[in-house]
Amino acid sequence: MRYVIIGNSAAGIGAVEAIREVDQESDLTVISDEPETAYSRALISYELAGWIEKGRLDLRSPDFYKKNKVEIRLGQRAVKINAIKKTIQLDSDDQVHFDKLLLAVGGSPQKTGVKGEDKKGVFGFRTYGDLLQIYDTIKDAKEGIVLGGGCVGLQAASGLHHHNVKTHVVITSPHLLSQVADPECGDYFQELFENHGIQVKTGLSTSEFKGGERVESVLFNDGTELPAQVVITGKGVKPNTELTEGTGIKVDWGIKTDNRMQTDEADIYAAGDVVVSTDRVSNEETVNAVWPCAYEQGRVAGFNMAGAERIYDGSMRMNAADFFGVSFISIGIVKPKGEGYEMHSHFNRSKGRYWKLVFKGNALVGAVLIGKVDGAGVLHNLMRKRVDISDIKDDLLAGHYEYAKILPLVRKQGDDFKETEYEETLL
Amino acid sequence: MNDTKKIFAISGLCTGCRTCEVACAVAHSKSNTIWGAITELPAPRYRIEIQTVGEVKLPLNCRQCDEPDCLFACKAGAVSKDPEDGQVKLNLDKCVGCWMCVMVCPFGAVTPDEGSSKALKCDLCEGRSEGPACVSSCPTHALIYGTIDNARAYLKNLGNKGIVIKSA
Repeated sequence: MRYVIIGNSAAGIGAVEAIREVDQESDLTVISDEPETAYSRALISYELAGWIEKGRLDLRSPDFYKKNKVEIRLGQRAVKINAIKKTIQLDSDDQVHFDKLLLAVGGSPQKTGVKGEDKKGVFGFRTYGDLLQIYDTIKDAKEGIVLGGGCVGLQAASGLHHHNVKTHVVITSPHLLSQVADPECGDYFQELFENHGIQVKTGLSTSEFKGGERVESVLFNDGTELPAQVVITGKGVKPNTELTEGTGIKVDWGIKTDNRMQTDEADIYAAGDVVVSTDRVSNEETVNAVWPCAYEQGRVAGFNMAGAERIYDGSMRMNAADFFGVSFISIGIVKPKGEGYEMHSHFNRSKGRYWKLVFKGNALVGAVLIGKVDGAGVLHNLMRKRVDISDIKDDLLAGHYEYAKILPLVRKQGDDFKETEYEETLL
Repeated sequence: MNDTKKIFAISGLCTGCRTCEVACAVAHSKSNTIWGAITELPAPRYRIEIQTVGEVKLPLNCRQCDEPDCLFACKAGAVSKDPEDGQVKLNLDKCVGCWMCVMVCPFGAVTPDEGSSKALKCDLCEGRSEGPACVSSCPTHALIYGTIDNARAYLKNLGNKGIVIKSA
């Protein structure tokens, strides 16, 4: 038996660890087109911002591959899969045979589609390679622009600012974090960023990246032109589905799998940012490109590849961040469209604390917390397990969501809380 | 894993006196004494919390989960599950304070430590020769450090002595 995993980030590592829990003997190969051993791409913005020391992004200890008996092929790109012969063609002209294959190939930054996008100094912000190039570029950059006001964009802006690059965040939406929070939250963070010297411009779309070989400025639809020698685009991520070409694997934006993370090709599995999955809360088919989902999908795929059946019960939209010491968590449906939702929120500006809860029927379906995020996981769990929260709704609305408050539900609705850890709190 | 040693709380024995919280904070202070801990800056934090629901008092801390969501969510590689003892360990050296673990812990047992901007959770007083400080400090013996079987045996033993414990 030979397991092959293409991809060496959250989903890939999750699969390695799951496979080795079940099968310590079979061959296991990991292929990655990046030259680095497993690192956290989610933390490149943290490194740029100086929040962690350079070169400390390792996800696992240096003996990880040896300990797990993994043959690691770094800096090698898989270019073609033959699902019938069960081979992978690498760009090095090598071929690798597989019995069970996992596509944990992730996503790539969405292109802006704007003129001049290929100029030097314009970056997607995804890989350690991107980070190294940005370090090189900002050596002689005075001004920078981040296009996009999501968590990654904002962290990237903090990063440029940290390197004394005068930074603008420019977004098409009317406020920051528009996908994951309400206008009042976006405005709050805009003020926070501006107080730290990062200017935010809203409601502008990009018309052109101007300059020679290297970007010198960015032109926007209202005629504004801002100088910039470095631009980071944060327009989201597109699943890397190229390898499915010529196979029977179904793709609908992302790779489709069943609830065992198996694709339409029996011995090929997929996990992570490349996968489209059912959102547990909204029931929509979507790509929830977040770390916890990627790892869990990789773990489920790994178990199933190794013959230990595991069912994936769906992904969730979620995000956590910390901006200038202000914590922020957003989970589930926080800006509902359509009927039947009930929303409650409260902003205590003087304390810098905000909460919002969204209900649908008897279920909690969304939460946003700013400033104080303790207990966010309890809310997450209520959403994830689709628990009937009728009995404790008043507690939730009063801001009490410490675990003990859900004990009555654990007792009464035991089917929702089957894991032994819950029973252990009822001693 | 059934044989993972962790801290179990017998809520029926808990009076809510918060001695465990104090003992935890002291055990995680620089001075290791209550007088030192009180004046230390930043103030040492406790990782066990007495929570209440109705009449019930529940001392709650990290459950050392079989399938630790905090580990799956940690994008810094700071959380691991010890293959030997099954305990869930947080490497503060690697923690970056991204709050992913806080976002997913079903027990709310990982919290942000504002002082250090890192995550805070029960470390079972690793390295403390007397074992977890909360357990040894509890005046009503409501906390047990051991396996789930140890905890059940303890409850049964109390029952044999005629002590009736109302469960949470």
